[in-house]
Amino acid sequence: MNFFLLLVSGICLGLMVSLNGRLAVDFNLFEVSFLVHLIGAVMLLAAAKLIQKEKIQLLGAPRYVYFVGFMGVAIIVMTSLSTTYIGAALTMVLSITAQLVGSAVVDHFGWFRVPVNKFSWRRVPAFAVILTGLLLMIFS
Amino acid sequence: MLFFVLLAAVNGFVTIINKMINLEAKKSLGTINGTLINYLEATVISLVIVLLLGDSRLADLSHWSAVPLVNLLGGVFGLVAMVLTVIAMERVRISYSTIILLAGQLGTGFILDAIAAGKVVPLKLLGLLIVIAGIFLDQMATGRSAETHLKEQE
Repeated sequence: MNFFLLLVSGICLGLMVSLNGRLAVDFNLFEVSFLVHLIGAVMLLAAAKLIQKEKIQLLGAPRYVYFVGFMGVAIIVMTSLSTTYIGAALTMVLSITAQLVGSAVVDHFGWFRVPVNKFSWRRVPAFAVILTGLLLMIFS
Repeated sequence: MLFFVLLAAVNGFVTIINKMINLEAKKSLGTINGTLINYLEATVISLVIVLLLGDSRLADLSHWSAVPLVNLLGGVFGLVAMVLTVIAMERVRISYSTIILLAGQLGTGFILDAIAAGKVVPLKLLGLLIVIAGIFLDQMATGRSAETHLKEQE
């Protein structure tokens, strides 16, 4: 079930990247960011009020949680800068590699209250195969 | 050059940290409220930057008449992806969820590119199949499913 949810999520991300790219023909980077986040915020507010009948409660999380929006915009800026200077393909490979390593580090140390899953060197060949496939997809 | 290579790598790390913080927001405030923090903040920050940069076409109705409104669906797909990700990430290994997300995203990109170009690039298809093989190899290397592993720890 979780595999399916993540796969659908990945498919949605692929569609989002394509549609946001088309929107960027008519608007600049920050205008696109404003529009897509505004649409999401309105949908969430509507879902809270109409479907879940949930009270809007934004306070009460750990302090660092409130940097999440800044980080989202920083990611957009970093992606744009890297793409401009070193190209989309290299940016994607570096970012994906860092994501694979970063997520293994989070699992290994159990950061952010996730269960500890120590990194096993037996996984290295699988990671190498995945990275080979990604390189082939991006550069061919 | 080196600076932007490092920046792209830092971007990948920040992407993971950002996902983890979204997960923490969900654990603290619930799925809707937790996700809403991200969206409200990013909306306001983006608007402030747009206003500071000036010369925006957002309020220009004549410009909007030429914009295909279907392109705005990116916002809807982005939200669905975020909600599904934080729901699923709570129950599986983070590295496993990262790999499945990337496979789904790149696979979709591959299909959209193939539709746009009207042909399939064989090497891209081979790359996608190798990624899928790698995911199964990773499952075999860990000896059991990521979900089972977590359930045993609880």
